[in-house]
Amino acid sequence: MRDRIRDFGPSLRVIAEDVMGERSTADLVAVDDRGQVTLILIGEAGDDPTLLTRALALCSWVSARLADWAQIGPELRLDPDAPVRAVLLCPDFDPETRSAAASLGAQAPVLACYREAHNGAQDGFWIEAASPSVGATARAATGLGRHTPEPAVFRSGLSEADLHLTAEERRDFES
Amino acid sequence: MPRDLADVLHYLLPEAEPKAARTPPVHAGPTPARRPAALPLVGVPIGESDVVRSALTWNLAVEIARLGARALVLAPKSGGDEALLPVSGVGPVGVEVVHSDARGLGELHRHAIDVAVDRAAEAPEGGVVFVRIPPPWLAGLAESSSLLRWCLLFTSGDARELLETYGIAKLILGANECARVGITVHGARRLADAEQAFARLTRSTERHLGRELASYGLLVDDLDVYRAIVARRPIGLAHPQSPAARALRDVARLVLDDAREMAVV
Repeated sequence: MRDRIRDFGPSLRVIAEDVMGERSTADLVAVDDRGQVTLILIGEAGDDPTLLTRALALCSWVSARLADWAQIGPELRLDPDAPVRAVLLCPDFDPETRSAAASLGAQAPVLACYREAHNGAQDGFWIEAASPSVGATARAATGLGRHTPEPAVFRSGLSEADLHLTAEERRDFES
Repeated sequence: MPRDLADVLHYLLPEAEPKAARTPPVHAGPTPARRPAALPLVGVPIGESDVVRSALTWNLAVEIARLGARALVLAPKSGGDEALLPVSGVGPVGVEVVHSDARGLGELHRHAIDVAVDRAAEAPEGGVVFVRIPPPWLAGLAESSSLLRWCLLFTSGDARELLETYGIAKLILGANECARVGITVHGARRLADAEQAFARLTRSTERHLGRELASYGLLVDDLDVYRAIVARRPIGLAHPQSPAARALRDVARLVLDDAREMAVV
């Protein structure tokens, strides 16, 4: 799968494998030339609903840590402000999973089906888009992500509501 | 007591100005005349899984110990990830990590007092107990807590993180109007960025809360800090001559000087 990573973005390069989040693992972590992180989760037949939930949880988990990762590994050239996107690979996706994913709008993960292929002595697999367009969705996610609202929760785990911040106080810290 | 960042930047950065080039004193400050009856407590709000702030706190404790004083980190088991810190016990240069079963600020404070009194007996040079406070314990605090009497907040210059830091300072000052809230800016790439971050914070705190923040210096954005975090080896021991280690030592001096002033004797 590492060799096929560029199917999801021409400049993607894998920077880590089997990265453990809060409860589950991202099979591959990749970054593109803009510093945007992509998580790739691979499942087997029937795993697709779980895979979607895991992807959302992992994106949230990674987003909260991107700034730290960028500091720990500056050579990775991560952009801590870029939204984390996910690519889900499964043999097939249930219509409900597709609908659920589509409802996420700009944050929707890319869905792609894979099939194992046997060609003589060589084994391989091929990939086809399950969401409208793997490439188009990937490109759209990059662009639309810039308009994603700031996460509601800070690194401390507190929200703006917990901190009782007024509009005037918030304005003081607008970039 | 307000303190300007410029006061503590003398020898932190390679491009420091002549004033900054003076040799730091070998000792952090005067040895207290009497052994303290209790080590002062410094509350450090650190979120769950916040590896950077946990590591900075632990490294700061190590630097204080390297200055000859006693330093401990007390962290609750609940409300956070205990794996962020080394296991309970005495670690490098005598720095002790103590995990607490406390499930709220009151219990944590009682445990901290016990530790502060107990360890003071072995601290002729003074010292400090850093108490990790899960930030959710600060939200909706019903009553004042003297655990918040002295708090240290680590922040980067990122606008959103500054907003968060301001909000936490607001919670602390709301819960304890006598609280001394100190700020250490970390991840600073340039001196000007750190100064600007601290100025922005203190300006808002004065304007909206009518209170001043104390500067506890800055930690330069040195890769060695983060490498030390990953390696779980204190920066002061792994790369003692690095700018990051020297910056951390300067912050440690500031904390220890104040700790000696505030120690209960």
